[in-house]
Amino acid sequence: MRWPGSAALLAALALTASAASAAARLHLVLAPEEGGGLQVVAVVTDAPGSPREGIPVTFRARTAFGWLPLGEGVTDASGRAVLPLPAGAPYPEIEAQTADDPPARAVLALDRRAAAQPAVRPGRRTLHALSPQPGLISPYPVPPLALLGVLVGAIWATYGYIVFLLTRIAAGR
Amino acid sequence: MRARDDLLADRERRLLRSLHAGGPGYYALLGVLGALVAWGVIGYGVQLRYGLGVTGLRDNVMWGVYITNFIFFIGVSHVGALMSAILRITGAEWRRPITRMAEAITFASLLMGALMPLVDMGRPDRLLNLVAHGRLQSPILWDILSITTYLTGSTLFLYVPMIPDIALLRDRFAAGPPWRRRLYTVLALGWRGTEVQRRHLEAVMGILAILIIPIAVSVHTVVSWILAMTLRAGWNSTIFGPYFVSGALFSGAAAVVTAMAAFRWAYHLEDYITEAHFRRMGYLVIALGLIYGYFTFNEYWVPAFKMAAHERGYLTAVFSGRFAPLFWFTQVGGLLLPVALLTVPRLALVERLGRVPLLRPAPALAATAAAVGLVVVAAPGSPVAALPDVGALRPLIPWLLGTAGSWLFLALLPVCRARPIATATAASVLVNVGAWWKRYVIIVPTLQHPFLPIQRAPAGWATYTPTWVEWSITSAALAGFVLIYLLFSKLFPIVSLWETREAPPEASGGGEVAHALAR
Repeated sequence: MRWPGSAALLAALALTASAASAAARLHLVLAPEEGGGLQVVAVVTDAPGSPREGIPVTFRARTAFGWLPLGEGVTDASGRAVLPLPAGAPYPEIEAQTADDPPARAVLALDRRAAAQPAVRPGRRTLHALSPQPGLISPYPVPPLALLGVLVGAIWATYGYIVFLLTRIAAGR
Repeated sequence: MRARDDLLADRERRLLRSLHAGGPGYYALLGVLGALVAWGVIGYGVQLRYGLGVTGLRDNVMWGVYITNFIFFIGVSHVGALMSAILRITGAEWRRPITRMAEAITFASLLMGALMPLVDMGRPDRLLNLVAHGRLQSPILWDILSITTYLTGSTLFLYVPMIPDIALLRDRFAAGPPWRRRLYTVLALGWRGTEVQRRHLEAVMGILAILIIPIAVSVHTVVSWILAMTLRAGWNSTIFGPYFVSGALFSGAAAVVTAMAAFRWAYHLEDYITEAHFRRMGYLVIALGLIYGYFTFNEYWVPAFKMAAHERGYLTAVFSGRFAPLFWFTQVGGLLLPVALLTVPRLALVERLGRVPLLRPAPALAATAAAVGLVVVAAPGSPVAALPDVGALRPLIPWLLGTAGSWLFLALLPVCRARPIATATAASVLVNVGAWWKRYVIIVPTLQHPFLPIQRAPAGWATYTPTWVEWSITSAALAGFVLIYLLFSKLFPIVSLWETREAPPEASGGGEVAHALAR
């Protein structure tokens, strides 16, 4: 699954979240990456809004079995710590937390449409153009599989014949 | 002739007595095996409740001891079908007392092996998805197909030659427990030994003996493809198929030797299984060991010569890093030493070694104990390990161990020559212990050294250490294998009665066996 690349769609998908604590404010933004992917940017500021440098930030993703650590970063001079998102990562929410005392925490809800699987499988021609792998590496049955089918089928047919002979033994004729 | 018939009847009676309930030793073994299986079931319950997080498996090292068990059991299962089929086709008469043992090994180990991928699944309730949504292009699905086919074929291959014996049991246990009588009546298929029935039986056995050979070879080849079809250091090899098949045959033949020794001792089958059978099986193990050694050498020497940058981490970890002790144990303890134990004691020179004072067992044992003591003392973490002199000794440890071990080996050679069955059994156990660890060394180091560096993962995820849950399930699988084998031997004669009765007396274990085996 591919992440949408256009700026307009990205703008529609991007959601922001922020949280504040006595010591720091944490702000999460979904932003485009240079290579066409996405990244989560955590911006840490102090109460008046000045960026805080050198604050460790831990990123986690909500999954079916709990919060999964995705990575850690340290804020730069502009108070930013960045987590590049793996392509196609199907996370509904990303959480960031500072290592401050008390920690600041923010949760960013990703658009579920971005994580959804394509409803329609691409056709053979589309897929072949995307991945010109020859041989058996294909999501579709390829002709050599017929040989496998014949071999396995012949073995099971022989088993059937053996069972037939066993019934003849049982019948005594 | 009459005396010989009496002898046959005696040994048959002795063999059939093993089908009745055993003594205290039998029940004690049954209890221990049952307890181990129960403990494994508890471990699996924990895994089912809390998920694969209770194991050492993580995203990067996603296969561990479960898949090690899987490959080990499938490998051991080879010998029953292959050895038995090849010896049947080639008319090797000496095989008659041991083929059923070998075939039963196939059955029991396949059952346990087939369970392991299910145990390895975090969500076994999704098993049907593998079939419903599986892709025929995936080696995983080929594996399901081939193992199912092999299990069916080897079950038939075990069952069909048993039919005449089951008919004999049906008649013998006519006054026995009803469940036994019913079981034998159903399985005997109304066998009366008529000409027509014998003709059909021979036809089925002939077909199965030929059919099972390519199936058995293909199964372990497909198992190897699960690894070799991926682009990973250590697995990206063109010889994985024959490498796995030869390793499977080697460990399987050794498992048969262990089973022969166990049943000979427990059921007093000395009339059936003689020293000559151990010698002949020993030759088979040696030959298979040399073939396996040849493939192993190729498998490691070729990449080690090149030391390509992307494989260097993996190769270093195996040869001299974290996995080196296991790797060298599998090569020395699981391959070289067993082959040496089966060959060297037969040399005439060995008789003279016993007369050399330094080569008596006592001094060699003392030297080995001293070397092992030094290893313990110099081990990191011991109280004296920090002393500078001890640290200087550490590089010498492999040489000391090697020298002491070689000394002990030479000193024990006369003992091995005097006790060939015990020696063959010890060698076969070493082969199987080495075979299990070899599968571990094939799987885990590769997963810990992927081509793309492990990133954005907690440090602990990059390495694999099995947890108590995995060890419990592994112990249960091994115990389950022995348990199935044991219960099988209590239901059916572990030596084929009708085949050994029909064979020349020499070949069926009794009488002038050496003459028959020399042919």
